[in-house]
Amino acid sequence: MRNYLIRRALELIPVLFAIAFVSFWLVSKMGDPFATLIINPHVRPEDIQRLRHIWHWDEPLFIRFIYWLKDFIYPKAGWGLSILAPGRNVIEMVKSRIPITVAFSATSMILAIAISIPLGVYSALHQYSIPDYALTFFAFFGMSMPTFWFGIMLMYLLAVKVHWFPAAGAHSAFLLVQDIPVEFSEAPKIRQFIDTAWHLALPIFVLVVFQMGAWLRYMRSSMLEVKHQDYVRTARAKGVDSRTVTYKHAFRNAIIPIITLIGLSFPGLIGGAMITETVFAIDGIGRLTFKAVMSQDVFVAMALITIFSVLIVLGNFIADILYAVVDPRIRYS
Amino acid sequence: MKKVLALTLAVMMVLVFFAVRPASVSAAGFPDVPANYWAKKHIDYLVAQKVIVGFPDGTFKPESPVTREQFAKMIVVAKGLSLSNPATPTYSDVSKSRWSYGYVEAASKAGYIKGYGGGKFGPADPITREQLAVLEIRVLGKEAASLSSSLIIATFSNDEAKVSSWARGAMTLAVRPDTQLLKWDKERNIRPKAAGTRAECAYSIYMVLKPPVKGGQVSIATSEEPKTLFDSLDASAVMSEVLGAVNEGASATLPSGKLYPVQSDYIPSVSGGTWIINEDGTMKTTWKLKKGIKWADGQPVTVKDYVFGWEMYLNDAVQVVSRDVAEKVAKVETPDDYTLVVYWTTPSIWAQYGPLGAAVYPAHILKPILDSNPKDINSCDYNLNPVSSGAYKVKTWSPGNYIILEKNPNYWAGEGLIDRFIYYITPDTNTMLMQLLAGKLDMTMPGIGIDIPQAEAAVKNGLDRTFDIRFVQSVYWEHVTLNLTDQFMKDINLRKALMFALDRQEMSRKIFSGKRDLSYGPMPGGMTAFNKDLVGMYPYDPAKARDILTKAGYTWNSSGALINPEGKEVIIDIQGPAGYAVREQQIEFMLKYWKDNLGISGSYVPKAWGPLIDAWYDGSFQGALFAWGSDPAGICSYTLYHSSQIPTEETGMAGQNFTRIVDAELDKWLTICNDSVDDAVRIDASKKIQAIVYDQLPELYLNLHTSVWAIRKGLVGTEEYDLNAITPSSYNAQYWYWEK
Repeated sequence: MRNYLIRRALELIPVLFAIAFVSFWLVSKMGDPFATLIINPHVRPEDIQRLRHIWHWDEPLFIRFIYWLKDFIYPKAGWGLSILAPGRNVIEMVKSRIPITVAFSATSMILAIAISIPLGVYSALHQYSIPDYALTFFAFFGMSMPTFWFGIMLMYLLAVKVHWFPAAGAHSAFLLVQDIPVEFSEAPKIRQFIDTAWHLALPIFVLVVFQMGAWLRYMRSSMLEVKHQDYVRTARAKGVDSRTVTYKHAFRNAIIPIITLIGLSFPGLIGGAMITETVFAIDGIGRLTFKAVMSQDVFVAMALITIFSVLIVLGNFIADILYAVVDPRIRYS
Repeated sequence: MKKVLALTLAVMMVLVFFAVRPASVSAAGFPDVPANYWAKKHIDYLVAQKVIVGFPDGTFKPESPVTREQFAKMIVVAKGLSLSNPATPTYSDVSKSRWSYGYVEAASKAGYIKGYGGGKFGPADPITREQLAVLEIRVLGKEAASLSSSLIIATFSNDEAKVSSWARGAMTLAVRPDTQLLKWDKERNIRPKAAGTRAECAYSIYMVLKPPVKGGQVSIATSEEPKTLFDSLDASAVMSEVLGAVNEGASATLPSGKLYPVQSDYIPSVSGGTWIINEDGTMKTTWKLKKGIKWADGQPVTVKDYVFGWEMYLNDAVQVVSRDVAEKVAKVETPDDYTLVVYWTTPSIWAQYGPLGAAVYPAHILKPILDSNPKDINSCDYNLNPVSSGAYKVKTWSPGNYIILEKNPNYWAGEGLIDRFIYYITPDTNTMLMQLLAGKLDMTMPGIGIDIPQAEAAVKNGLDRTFDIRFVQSVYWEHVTLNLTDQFMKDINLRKALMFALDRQEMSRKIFSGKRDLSYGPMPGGMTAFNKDLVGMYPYDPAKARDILTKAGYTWNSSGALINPEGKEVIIDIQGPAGYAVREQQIEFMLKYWKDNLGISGSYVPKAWGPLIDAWYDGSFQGALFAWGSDPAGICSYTLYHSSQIPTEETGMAGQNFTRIVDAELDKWLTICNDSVDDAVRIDASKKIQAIVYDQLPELYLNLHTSVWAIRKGLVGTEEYDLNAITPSSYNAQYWYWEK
């Protein structure tokens, strides 16, 4: 087992290296970050050449990749500097966005799952009933409604028509503490928390509605499949009461594939929700990724892609190990 | 973020909820004071207060001069002073019997007027603007301050030297944010010796009665976030907006492109002997800085800071975006801490735009960094927390959320009125519309705020009741760059036919609700150098387009496709940035017109920005839709059209002549324009250049970008202008205030 683990871990290195290089190549294909400066009447081609030189953009792709790798691995360089955000290294940029992204994505994911699992079970148990149809309708409605439209509509109704919620933003710039405006960062922590929660309520709602549909449908079909299994019928036949059959025999088995899915969507917690973040002006990891790719900020884009790759690869690695732990039929050597 | 078609759709859907509202009614008044007259509000107020009255014929004659005794009456009535009738007159030329006696004596008693000296008042003389300033500064109780020796004299005008020495202090205070008694003219002159007109007097008395209010905040949304606040390291519009009232230099530029002195005493000029152009093309400029100006951290601003800025620009490790001008400076001499003598290698109009072609930076903060490791400048803390010398300073930058500016307590020319500006970063313009409707914002700025569709949605939702929504023409001109080495595009007849067969007016109406003006060559209308003769040269005339082609030997085959004289079917591919909705719509619009009117098949080739620009350089395109920005100073378009500016391997891919036009006459005028520093010569050459390219059509000129500027009513002081050049709208933010 130990040998297997070491071998697997070593195998990860070339995999990650290959992922990094391919991503670097793809991101570079978008063009260089200085090209659009050409439209500025004050920028001469010589200036663009000079900037390219400063950032090694006049070197071949592989050399540029090595420069990046050096900065990424060398801890003091902080994963390199953002070309387009001077003054901040990439680690800082990513770090500063993790709390809001996790608060936003994790809350919506937990809520979506917590609400849709019981509803999915209910839907399966009452197949073809009116509530089942209603829930199915709701599920498809939620999934098919574009988040940017739904988000804007909610803002229009709940922030413009009635001022129950703020119109976008992650938090207020100033909070009134004893009637004196105090900058957010200087306000009491509890006030910061309440203000952030108030701002995140609408975007979280949008994401929950969007995600719920899928979870609800997964749970429903998984439960339906289990419901007709022989062991469920056996349990019923031997007179186990209905509740026990449902929750002890059927539900426990039906939830297993859902847990696998939850595991797989884990990197999404960090990845954030690009569109919802953009509509609600929340500067999370999702928006950072999008901005970095669109503005060819290769250092930021690469850092994020690498983080995602590591998360996914590690996730798989851990899952493999867990299979061996859980399932006695699987042995690694 | 570029607008996506789908997002526009979202706005349309939101529109469904909007209700119709009645139009407002315009108020009556003097026929010669129209509703858009600059001092309309002030005249109406003073007339209502009976401080000033109209003429018996119902007019106001706002441009007529005011005499000194008339002004004495106005100020006495305005301040509610009781008339004074002393037995002996104070002034020998204002006798007891004169109609103005009581007013002049009352104003004299209150200490507002002191006469010419020698017992004379000159009641019938027109009151000059500097006299007006002195008098009103007394009314405001600021006479002592105006005479203080520690006051740094600055009227921020090009004619400051004309101000009489006795009025300098008062004129300095009269243009400060907290008084604003005088306005500059379009040429940025303060006109101290000119007679004050009735409108000007009404305006300034209004400002005495209702002085600018201090306090409050202005919330602004921007769709983009600055990448840095170290201004020479980037060139984004949002950065210059945020730094508009933060940074300051020797000179500044008005939205109209007019220069004026700020930290310098004057703008160097040939006539003033401070700008010497030698026979061999080298130049010498002399600048005099004002004494006593401080950085926001309290350190003095001196020539050392200016010289340091220039040295930093020239350091190869520093990520300065443009050093075009800085490289033209040969050397600089600093005879004292406040004088810069600059020597230039080549003639350049940029010599008067700033001492050294570089911004000024606090040497005491940045020089140690540059000296130890120049590369660290690119990443130092100054990027996030710049220290400058303008009226405002950066307080907080919460990345991705907002930037807060607050007043600079060390500002030397009168502190700003608004306590703080908050720039919220709202990437989605539809979200921005919601923020406007929800009351979270006081302003969105041109170019980085809401766009035309959101502005229309805002108006339909009644936002124009609380907001002033302005459409501001920018200097960016949208066009199709044609590759003149292409087998079809090399023929001028085809290019002309394409222009005649396109209904540009309809295109603006359909795609931009008619809010974009047409473009007539490489110079936006509204700029001084614009050649007006070109307007109307290419009306929509499909018959003429076909006629041109027929005469040039083009034919149409049985399926109606256009065949060129060489027997080839004409095909047009136009490249454009992928995902940029209005550009896609414009290309589709053009292709449809050319198909319907001329039988030309074409297609739209969407590309990412990088490959798109690569194609301009290597010439692998037929047509490409994008926009160039013109600068009021850079009117020659030399790099766009000169034959030496075609990017090739030999020239190191330098130059922006992507159309690959080669024309001897054009080259001649481009060279004349580029080499001259004489405005008249340059404007004349520029007009010839415009005429040649508009005739030759290396580009199909489409329209001028229009941006939206939404301002909450009650916020006074934003400048109304038609053309938004490179000056940020916030350049005069220290004068803005909330009128009570």
